[in-house]
Amino acid sequence: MTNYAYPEVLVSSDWVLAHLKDPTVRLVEVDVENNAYEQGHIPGAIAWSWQRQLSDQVRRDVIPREEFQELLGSSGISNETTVVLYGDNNNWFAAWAFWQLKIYGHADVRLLNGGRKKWLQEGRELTTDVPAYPVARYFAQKPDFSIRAFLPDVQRAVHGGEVDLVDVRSPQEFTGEILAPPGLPETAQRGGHIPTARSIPWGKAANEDGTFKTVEELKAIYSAEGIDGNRSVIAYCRIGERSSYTWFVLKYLLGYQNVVNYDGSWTEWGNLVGAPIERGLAAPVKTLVAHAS
Amino acid sequence: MHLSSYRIGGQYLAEVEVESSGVTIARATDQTRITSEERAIEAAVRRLSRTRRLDFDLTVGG
Repeated sequence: MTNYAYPEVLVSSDWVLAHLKDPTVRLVEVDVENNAYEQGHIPGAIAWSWQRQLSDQVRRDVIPREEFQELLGSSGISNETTVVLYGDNNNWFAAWAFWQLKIYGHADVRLLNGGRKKWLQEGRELTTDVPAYPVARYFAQKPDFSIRAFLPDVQRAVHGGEVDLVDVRSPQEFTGEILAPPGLPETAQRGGHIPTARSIPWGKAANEDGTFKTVEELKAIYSAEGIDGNRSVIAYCRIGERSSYTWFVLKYLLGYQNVVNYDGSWTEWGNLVGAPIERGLAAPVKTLVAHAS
Repeated sequence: MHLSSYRIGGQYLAEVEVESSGVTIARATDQTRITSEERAIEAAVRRLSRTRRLDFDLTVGG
């Protein structure tokens, strides 16, 4: 697929069709809401709920290691299984699940390029049958948080100036005009963005059919805001799912090395007492460069 | 907004998507294409009415 840095992390809908009955492959649908899967899904796919199965149920955190192990094992996934993730909203939560599988060291995990939308638009087979797979043995690695940013990392980035912050939310969320994508419930006490952040909405990386744009197009999009792989990047959104999509783009499609996902995102920063906030449009990149020189 | 509908078995699934972001804002299933689309549009309108907006100066640093 074009000349992506790690093309093996993407599969096409043709590939999925050819591997529907492949016992070494497990299709997993991860949507914003579970009713999408219930209304029709790719044959053989199981569903994970990002809220109940990919999140700690007591404190705000990613799924704990033991529960991750249990989830994958009960999904019939072994350490050798090729996990193919897909979902709605151009793979928002599929990318978030991808990020968590990488935190726990799963070797072979991929995204269906175009997600649920492309499969639907191509008129491919859907089913409401829910498959059951035999439980597998799964061993999760200790969590690798080198791909995750926590609050102190972001605070250092704001004050230190050596790490680029990328806000992947819509322009209206970035300016503070709205607190969340229309109709979604997780908001914050304040609207705006983290100081110094650049606004690069996640959707800019996707074509109309939901597939990822080419390397050349992606480089142009991000370099226009000063993101070219030469500095570390922290991507954030509202709750960390759209930013995991951008993390995937920067790290796996463009091959930028030091990219992390700040899953606390705006629901953490925008609710934090005393955290500095900017509102309105960001200053043009040229202005920032002039000030730095 | 972009409205799509698909036949799945004996039902129709309709989805309303925000074109600028590719976000599916609402979906609904029903026995006919028209009724599923109507229900999806109603759900989308309800959701959009819950969007919280703030009024302030949108210029740089405003």
